[in-house]
Amino acid sequence: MNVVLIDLHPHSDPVTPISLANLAAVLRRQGHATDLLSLSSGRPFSPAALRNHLHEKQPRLVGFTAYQRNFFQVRAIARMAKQASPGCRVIIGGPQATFMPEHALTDLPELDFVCRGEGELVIRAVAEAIDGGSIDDAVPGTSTRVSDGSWLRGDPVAPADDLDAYPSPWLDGVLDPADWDEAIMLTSRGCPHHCAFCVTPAAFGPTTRAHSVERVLEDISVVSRRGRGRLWFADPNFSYDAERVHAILEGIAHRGLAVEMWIETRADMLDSDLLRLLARAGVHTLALGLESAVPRVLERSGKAIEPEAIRAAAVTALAAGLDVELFSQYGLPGETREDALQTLRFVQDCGVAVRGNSNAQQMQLYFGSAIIGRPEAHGIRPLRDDLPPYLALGDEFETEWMSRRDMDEVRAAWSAASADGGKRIVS
Amino acid sequence: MERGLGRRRQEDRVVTLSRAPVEWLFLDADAPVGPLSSWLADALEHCAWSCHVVVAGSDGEGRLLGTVVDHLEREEVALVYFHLVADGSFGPAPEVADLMDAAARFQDQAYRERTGARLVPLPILEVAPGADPGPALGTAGELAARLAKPSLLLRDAPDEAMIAAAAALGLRLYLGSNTRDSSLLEILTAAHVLDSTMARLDCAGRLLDPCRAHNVIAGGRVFDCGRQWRRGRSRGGLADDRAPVWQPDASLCAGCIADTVAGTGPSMVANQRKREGRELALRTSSALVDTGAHLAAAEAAVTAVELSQTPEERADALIQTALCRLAAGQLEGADRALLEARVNGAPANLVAYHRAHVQVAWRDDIEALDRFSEALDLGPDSLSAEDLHFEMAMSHIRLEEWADARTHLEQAGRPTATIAFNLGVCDVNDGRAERALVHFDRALELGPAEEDLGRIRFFRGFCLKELGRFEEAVEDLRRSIELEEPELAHHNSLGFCLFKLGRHAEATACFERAVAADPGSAIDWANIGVNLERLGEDERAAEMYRRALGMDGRIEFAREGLERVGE
Repeated sequence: MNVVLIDLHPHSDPVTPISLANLAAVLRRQGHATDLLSLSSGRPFSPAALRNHLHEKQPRLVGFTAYQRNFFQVRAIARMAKQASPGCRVIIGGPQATFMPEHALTDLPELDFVCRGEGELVIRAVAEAIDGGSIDDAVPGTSTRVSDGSWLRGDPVAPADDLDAYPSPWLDGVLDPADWDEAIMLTSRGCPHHCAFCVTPAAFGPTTRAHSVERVLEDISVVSRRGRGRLWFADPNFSYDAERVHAILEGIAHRGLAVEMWIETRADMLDSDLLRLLARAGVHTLALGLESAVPRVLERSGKAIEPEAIRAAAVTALAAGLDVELFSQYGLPGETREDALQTLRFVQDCGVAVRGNSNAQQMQLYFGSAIIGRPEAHGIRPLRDDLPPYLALGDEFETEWMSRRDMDEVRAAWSAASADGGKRIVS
Repeated sequence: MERGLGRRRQEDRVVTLSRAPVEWLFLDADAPVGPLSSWLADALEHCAWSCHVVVAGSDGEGRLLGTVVDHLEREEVALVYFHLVADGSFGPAPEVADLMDAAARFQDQAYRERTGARLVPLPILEVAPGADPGPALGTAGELAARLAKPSLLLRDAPDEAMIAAAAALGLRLYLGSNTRDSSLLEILTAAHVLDSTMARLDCAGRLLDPCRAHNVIAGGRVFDCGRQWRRGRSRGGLADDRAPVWQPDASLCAGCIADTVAGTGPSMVANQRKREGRELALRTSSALVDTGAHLAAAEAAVTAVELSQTPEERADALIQTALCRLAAGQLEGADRALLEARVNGAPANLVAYHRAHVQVAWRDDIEALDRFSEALDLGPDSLSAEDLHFEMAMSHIRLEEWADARTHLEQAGRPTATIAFNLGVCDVNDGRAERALVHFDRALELGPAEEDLGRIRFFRGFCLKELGRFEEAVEDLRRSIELEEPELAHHNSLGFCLFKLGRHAEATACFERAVAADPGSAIDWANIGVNLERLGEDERAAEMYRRALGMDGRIEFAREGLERVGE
């Protein structure tokens, strides 16, 4: 069966399509001819070329990673795919899909499957179902449009405890490191913390599951030797297991791999020994989730960490020669305008440059976060009640503590302090 | 371990569709609009999903806009930035109002779907020479409030009040001359080249790459890029080429970018982008130096000087200008720029150092030595005293002042192959072959650059010859001939050693190569004669002696030889 998976970033440069590449690796091992398209403003495409490609391939399944920001284009290309390859089915996965309300699906006639579980397992089941002909039952791990046109919710799928059970797109050659300026690596999934604004625990589970050290080092070896050796770790807490991270970093040094790495972790998962080891192994930037510099705000958001611990980690990391990025946001529950400005001053006081990911953004409310489940309980006041049900509130809100004008003023303050115009890289 | 990669096939790679679909279309709407809008309807399908349509002129009856709207309705994935030049002298022009009306539908859609609008209006309000820009500013403010991104095209140089007013509204100012013929297409394509280059400012090594993919359509013909349009080299007519492609002639790009950057000073000032403009000019200058385009690099550096905001910045840019001019052989200009850099606070020692190099280029090593000494006396600071001593040594070598050269080389820091070699050269020329040989051996030990090996071998062979170690000398001289383009001296020295070793046939061949390299070398004609005589070829030897003496009657051994073999 021909499958086309599309990674779409209409308004930004291309990034390694790691999630879809994971799925492509599974499908190829199943014997499905799978194309992985990377479409972005940095790798532009013409409508004619895309249509021709879909027409030539005649895929029976087309898949997308859906985000709030690309959802309009995802739908447009899904419709194009169905015209170019009549009978093909469309699946969406990713943050916008996993927790999309069931009732929203009736407004999305171009979709056939919504991935609700671990993609590697779901895509295999979906491909088998399509191969099997008429689909009368929901596919596990999905919402499925069955043969009578109605939507059914499939049983949940239990994700693999051992991530090494999934093939590696780097080792299987789905991704060629030479094609990417920076290779995105995802070596662990899930998070045991309960930040009210975050969807990670709900999407990937409340415990951290990880690839083995050996598998991670094999991936890094390929990327280092064939590519530019620049690695961007998408793990939410790269150093969650001190023993594991030491083994990875020492393995990099032992194998003599020349790499430059960006990692994200929590301040309470670092110590000065580890920071030195990170620097020695080639980590150039350490990103920490600050969110707010006000303990009261952090507590209300369910983020159990002290700002002063973050300051200490940032200062130590800077002294160790690492660049530091502090992720922060405003419009959090319980946060006033003054609180938000205090966060800006905190970042500056830490000696962290306000640029790149250290530019703050307004809290974005996506499906799956604790806040969007009960916005009023968190003091959220939606500014719109006319959004289509398949779109989450995003930043279209004010709070009991900050009006829209307050938000605009805080945004302007951050923008004025920014060294690069205030554009954050990771949303 | 790279399992799997060995069996990787090309079709497994991540697909990117086409490498570079056209992203910008510059349309000269003064051509007949019917065929143009028909062409545009087909062309947009093949352009990037997110593309810019720039209408340089009047969109008669809005047909081009209508074509774009039809495209957007057909292709839901598409997004068009519509740039339209309109007369801004008398308030909102009707075609701008039409554009805003068309955009409003897409803005509603964007609001509903929380996405970007798929028709982005970018009206360019042109202010005629001598006209009051006030109405255009007012219109621009109103348009910005309606989510357009207006800009102004001024035919008069803007004053400071105008610049401030535009900045307050976030307007871009395009500048067009009112004294020379600067067409809309010229202005807008130049701005495109500038923006594309500016976007690559941080991409080391890519600054002079082709800009974002564009085509120019003018006079019913399609041009690959603005440069080709200015050269009048079209790819074909509208009927021939309905699917635009991007096939830039990359060999033209550096020149195009250089010209654009060199002329960008006033625009950067008007748009309050002096800092970025200066950065761009300096980096462009450096990139051009890397390509060997030193004159163009100097022009870019001059732009950096114009955009400098502090004496320190100005001094840095002037030094860059001077170095480019020096490399381009514009020595007076280089020296002038250095003196001006000094006035702007450039370190005196640095200026003296660079001025010394200008003198070197002028072949005035005596003056150069004064400047190097001045730099040394002023305290090296950012300069290396060791480098200065080395440069001074080189000047002394060119002046054949071997002892002075040696003194400076000994202060030129940790011995390198180059220093050791030059010490050897000094000793050879002072007649100290034995000491020189030690230096040449040291140079070889220190790992010289590949391209220097031949020179070192030659001088080593020469020393050995002087010391009478002819067998070894032959080996080095032969090696030097393999490693570098041989000159007269190579053949002469090798021939001499072979003669001394009694290998007269080989020596003869050597001297024949010497006279082939320089037929006026009387001594080598005589050398051939000597060797032929030793080989018993008296007749030919006599001929060679005669030829040598015909050129230089003072060659005693030739006269004696001729007496022996012929007369």
